[in-house]
Amino acid sequence: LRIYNKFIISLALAFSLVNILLALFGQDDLLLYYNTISIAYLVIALFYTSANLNPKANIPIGILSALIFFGFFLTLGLKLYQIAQL
Amino acid sequence: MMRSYIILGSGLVLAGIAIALFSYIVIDSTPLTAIGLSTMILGLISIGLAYSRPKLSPEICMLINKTGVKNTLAILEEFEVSNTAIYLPRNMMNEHAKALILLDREYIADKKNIEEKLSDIFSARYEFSIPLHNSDSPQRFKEISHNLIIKYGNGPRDMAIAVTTMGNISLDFLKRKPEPTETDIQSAISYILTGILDIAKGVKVHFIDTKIKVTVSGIEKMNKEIFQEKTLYSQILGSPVASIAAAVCSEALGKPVRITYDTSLITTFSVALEVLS
Repeated sequence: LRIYNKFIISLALAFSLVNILLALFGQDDLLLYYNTISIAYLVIALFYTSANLNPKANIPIGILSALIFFGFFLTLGLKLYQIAQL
Repeated sequence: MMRSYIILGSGLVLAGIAIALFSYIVIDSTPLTAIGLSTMILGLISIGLAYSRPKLSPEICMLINKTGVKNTLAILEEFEVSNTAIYLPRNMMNEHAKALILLDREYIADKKNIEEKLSDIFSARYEFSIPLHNSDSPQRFKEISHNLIIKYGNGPRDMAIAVTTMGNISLDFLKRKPEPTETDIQSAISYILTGILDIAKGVKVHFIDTKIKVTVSGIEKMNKEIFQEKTLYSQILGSPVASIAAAVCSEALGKPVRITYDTSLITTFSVALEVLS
């Protein structure tokens, strides 16, 4: 299961890095955190699914990717709405 | 193994929810809320991956594997085999990839001699089988793939046995037939060993004339007993890694292939293959 472990560890490292960097830069917008985490997740998931991950594992990863992508669009819509309100 | 992923995933999801809610509502910290969110995503991934693993335990798989290997080993010992196996592609064996072992008493090292024998086998289809079952249908003689023993000449040792190996079975994992190029063969072997079986880290394939060198790195140490044990089985049919490499190469090239060199050093396997025509 090393490839699965590698996938989880890659995600954990990427998420930690994103959170630490954004916190260091003094960001306080939760949507920005969410969007950056989403992009990190989608890139790593795409890399593993297009490489050599077991086809069975693609289903749960795909479902979660769709959910996160949906959330990403939702936050984007929210931001656009906020801009339109100004 | 599946349970450990579920436990890890559930723990991460619960911890993530707790951290996110506490950070957002009580201490109003955005970075900590984001950490909670990240933990939740990691937990969901762990739970999802747990359900994509096969339900059979590694011990059961080992049991099934050992049974098959021991039965094949008994056949090899019974026939006093000394020649290394020749891996044949599906198109030469009625869509069933198999390994052919020549039963000549003396070891045939010369490539030309082997090619002559193969030519005898594939030109003398009418003599193929010793009737092991009660059907006298002439069609049976055409179905080389279903016979264990193949007779191709008049001599008492002009016979070969066709066995199915791990490499031959592993071809079923491939979604399409690999192209006869270094990169496609490398990608196919890597897909099986790294993606499906998850026993290696990397694969490299090099063509040198009619020889193919396959290097597999990062073989797990815990599998040493299965993958590096020297038995008559591994001498004739090659180690599981060599068997997979030979079967994939044979299928991609559409030609018979035999293992000429198969060795391991710590976690790296080096396999040399010879393409026969």
